[in-house]
Amino acid sequence: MNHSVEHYIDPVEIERELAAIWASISRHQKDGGTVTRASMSNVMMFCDGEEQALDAAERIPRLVQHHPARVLVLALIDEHSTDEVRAWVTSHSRQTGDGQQVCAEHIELRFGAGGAERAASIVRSLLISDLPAALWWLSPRPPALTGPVFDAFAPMANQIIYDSIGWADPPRGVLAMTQWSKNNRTVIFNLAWRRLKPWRRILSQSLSPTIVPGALQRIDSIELHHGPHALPLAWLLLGWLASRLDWKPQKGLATSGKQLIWQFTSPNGPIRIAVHRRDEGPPRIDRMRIAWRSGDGQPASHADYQHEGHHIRHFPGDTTLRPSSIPTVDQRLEQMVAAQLAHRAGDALFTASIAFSEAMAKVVKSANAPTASQ
Amino acid sequence: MTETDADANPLMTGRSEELFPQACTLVIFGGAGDLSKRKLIPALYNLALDGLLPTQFAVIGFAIDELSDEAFRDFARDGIERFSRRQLDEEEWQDFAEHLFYQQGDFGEAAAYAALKARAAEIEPRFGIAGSRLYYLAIPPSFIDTCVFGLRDSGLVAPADQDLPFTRLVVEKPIGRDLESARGVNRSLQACFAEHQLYRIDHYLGKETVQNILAMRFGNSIFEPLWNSKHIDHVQITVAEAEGVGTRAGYFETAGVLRDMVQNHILQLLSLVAMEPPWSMRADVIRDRRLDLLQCLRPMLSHEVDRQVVRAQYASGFFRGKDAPGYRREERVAADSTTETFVALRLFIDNWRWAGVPIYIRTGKAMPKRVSEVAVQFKAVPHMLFNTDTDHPLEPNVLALRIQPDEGLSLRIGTKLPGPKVKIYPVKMDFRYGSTFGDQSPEAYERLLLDVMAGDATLFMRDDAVEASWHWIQPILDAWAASGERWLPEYPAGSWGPIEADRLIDADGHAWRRL
Repeated sequence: MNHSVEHYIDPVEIERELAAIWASISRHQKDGGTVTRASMSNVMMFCDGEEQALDAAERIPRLVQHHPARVLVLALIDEHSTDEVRAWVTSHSRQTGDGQQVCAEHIELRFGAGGAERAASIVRSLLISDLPAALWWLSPRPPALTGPVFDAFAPMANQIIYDSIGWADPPRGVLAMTQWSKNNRTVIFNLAWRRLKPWRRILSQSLSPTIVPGALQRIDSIELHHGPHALPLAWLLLGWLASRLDWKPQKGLATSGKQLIWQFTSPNGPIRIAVHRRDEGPPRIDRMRIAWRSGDGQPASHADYQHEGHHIRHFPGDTTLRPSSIPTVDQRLEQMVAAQLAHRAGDALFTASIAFSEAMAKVVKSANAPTASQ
Repeated sequence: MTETDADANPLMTGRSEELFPQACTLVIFGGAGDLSKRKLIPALYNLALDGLLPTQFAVIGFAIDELSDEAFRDFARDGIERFSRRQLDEEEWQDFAEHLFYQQGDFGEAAAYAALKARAAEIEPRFGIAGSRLYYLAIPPSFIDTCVFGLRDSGLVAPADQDLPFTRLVVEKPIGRDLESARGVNRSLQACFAEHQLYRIDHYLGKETVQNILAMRFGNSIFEPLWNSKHIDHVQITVAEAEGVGTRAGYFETAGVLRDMVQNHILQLLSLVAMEPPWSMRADVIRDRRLDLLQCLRPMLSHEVDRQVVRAQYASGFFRGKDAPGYRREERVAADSTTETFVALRLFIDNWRWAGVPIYIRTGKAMPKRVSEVAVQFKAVPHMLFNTDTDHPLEPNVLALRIQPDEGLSLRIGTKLPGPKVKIYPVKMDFRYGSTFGDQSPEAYERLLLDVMAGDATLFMRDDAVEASWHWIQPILDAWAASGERWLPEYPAGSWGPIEADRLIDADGHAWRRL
């Protein structure tokens, strides 16, 4: 993958500069080779600060390797006091059989808080027509709590991709995003949902009625342990489980900065869920125990799950069953985003799960949910 | 996953984007053989890497060779190291290997099936497998009868109307070597299994780009209105292999390229290209449409075979600058062999859509390069406004669907050359899977194994389709058998086929595409 040199330009020169890059690549083709552009989307990457913008730029080659796109890095730089917008362009290309293929036209915009509207007007003119536009929100702030900056870019997007890992106040973020989603037709997607795929898969398979008949209906407690900043992940997983199993949240209590307790009801009885945060370690769900009561001639039992290395392992309480595992298929952030860009329609299961997360957030808030870093 | 099972597990519902492989044991007949090592085990390993295998899953290699579980795992590991599209990951391998077992047995002995049954019954509870089994016959066709009756007589086949535990049987091509033997194979299969338990595999249909034919035709509105005799001049299907027969000479001598490629891969490909729109993506709906198409092929009359079909054999030549031997000089090939290594033919589809549109097929071994494509050539514009001089005639539009390599599609269109004169020049709009999506496509066997585990038969052949394709091929085989030819036309290895193939298409005023 090649890329061209970067230098600041006047924003009105962006298209001209892109054309010059194309011409330059064409000139360097041998034997009449052609330059083609592969584009599947417009991707706007919103970043908070210079450091994050640099990180975003590093991710672009890997993103466009999987999903060729015109990429616009939108960096909000606090120290920009004026409404000035600075820009530069570059491109990423690779050699195909008989010519060069431009996989990304990479445009960088730097602006201060007062320049968001101005930057948005530039973006509006640069989006390739007839291609979907996605807003990838790299900032650790929940998009819907960012105010005018989010409002400036969100209307241009068909899809908003964010990552709730690291949100300082997950209940508030969850509420804000679900509320925003209700009032807008734009598809929203939380990358945490994609991270949960192996968890959802192993729970679905190991608790299948063909393996442990009736266990799902008789669950009476769940204990979940997660690393720092991973509460939103746990929240979403529990939201999915609860929505699938028709549980109703009754109350939620933050007994300390490290522990959350929920009470749910189900047609078969109450369910107690305890979520514990560890002080150290990676931001992920570390382990989980799901226990179920006896019933329908079946004994009470449980299943333990543990994230170990690159696997989630399942240890059945019934020792006649063999432990199983599923690989976590670690993906870089940009690979997850590329995969999500290909799924432009909303995911009904995700939507149902976040709606449930909202219900869970509401009961926790009423019990004074913690606002410290989770 | 059947609807019944999905309904029973609320955690499985709503996952519309995914296939649901069900908990099962995969028993590979011929587990210590070449197909198992090169394709099946690497495919399973790649599915495991992607987290797509069910956690309740076991593999039992079943063959006559004396192997321990450990030796079978070493065999599997070697297969993955040599043939997997992704490198072996030690941690993943350790997990995967725990699911691999081996059972020695002679397919012809009842005791072997009893031992297999006992072994499966011992392994399955450990993995939480409730007895669902998938038998994969990776064996020579001559063993099919023995194995399916062995399974049935040992009580290893679940009742056909039972959802769980299920039994499914995967059978590799060829299904028979002519119409009568194909019917015989189908009779044997159906004496032991219900049709919905049978998965006749043609790995060609598992290729991403073959599946893209349906997506391209029915996922876009611009092609289908043109997809008929009013707009299409002709269709060319090319499946060329660069290699000679090599290690497959023993099998190939008894088959020939008509049986090996045309009867299955190419006719299946044609059925996807030319079938009527299905009203749903359900397996039986798609398979009905494919069958309809095969039944519309104009029967090949015996006295027309010589005029419509060219067969040939490669002679010595050069391949990429190196000497290449002729077919009759290959090892395990008879010095007076009349097995065809090349076929070119013209066929017609007698239905409303395709009336009068010739379909040209060419396939062969020892050709200049490995390439498979379907090229749809559209009719010329009704009135020539441009390039009226005969030196630079306006070239017709061609939509080429490339199956391999460089999977993708290209559309040739005419565009004005820059300059004061209006001159139209053909340019190619090219879409390549590899360069657009970047990701490696899964191997065909990965997709197909996953489909069998999920109970999706869309990409597998049904008995009636197999017999319909043999029904169409049979007159050609009969005519060749009756001719008593001792020499076939020849083409130099490393060339695009014999002059007779050029004459076949040239007679209609067309030419083979340069690939």
